[in-house]
Amino acid sequence: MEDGIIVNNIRKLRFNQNEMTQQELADLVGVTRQTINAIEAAKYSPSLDLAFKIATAFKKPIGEVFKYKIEP
Amino acid sequence: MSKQEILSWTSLATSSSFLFFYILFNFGLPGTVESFSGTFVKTFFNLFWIAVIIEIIVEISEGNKKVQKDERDFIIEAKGMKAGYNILVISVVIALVQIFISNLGFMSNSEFPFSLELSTIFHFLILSLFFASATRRTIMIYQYRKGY
Repeated sequence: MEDGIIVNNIRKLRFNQNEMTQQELADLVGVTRQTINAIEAAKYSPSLDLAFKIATAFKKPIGEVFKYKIEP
Repeated sequence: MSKQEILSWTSLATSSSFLFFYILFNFGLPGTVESFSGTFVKTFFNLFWIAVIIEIIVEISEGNKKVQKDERDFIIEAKGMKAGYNILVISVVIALVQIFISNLGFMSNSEFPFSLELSTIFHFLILSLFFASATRRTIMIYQYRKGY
């Protein structure tokens, strides 16, 4: 199988949730603001546990927050 | 900059200071830079105390935060630890081989070409310890700066 990258809609979802800040989301899921920033920039792939926590914070299924994109 | 990244910088500064003072007190500075020794001592002395003060300030200001360290910090720390551990293991193996070679020379009652005194091997191990610590922190800072 070809390698891909994990992309996410966290930034969009944050703004749809009353412009939630990175710090607010970080506090909700129990990580630092820098980790949320790295995930948003797709520089760091979160653990499955953290990915589920983020999806739960937005009340969305995990597939709507994170997507696996295969590079052509 | 996160708390863990700041602590990596301060730890690198203290390790470098210890490394400098250890070399200075045991071997002295090479002749070419001896005239600057006062400047070096002042710089590393200040560096050490600035790092300590920054650590105290960070501990006071960020100490009440809910999350001090998360999974990303642990992964970055593991990468640094791996590099530091490898350096330490290689140093210990070199030291053990060196002790073995020195004993060969002692047993044969002759001057063995690569034999070293035990005190030299001890200094080598202590320097390796500081070097491993500095490498560990450098790798961590690199990962933080890269945005991992």
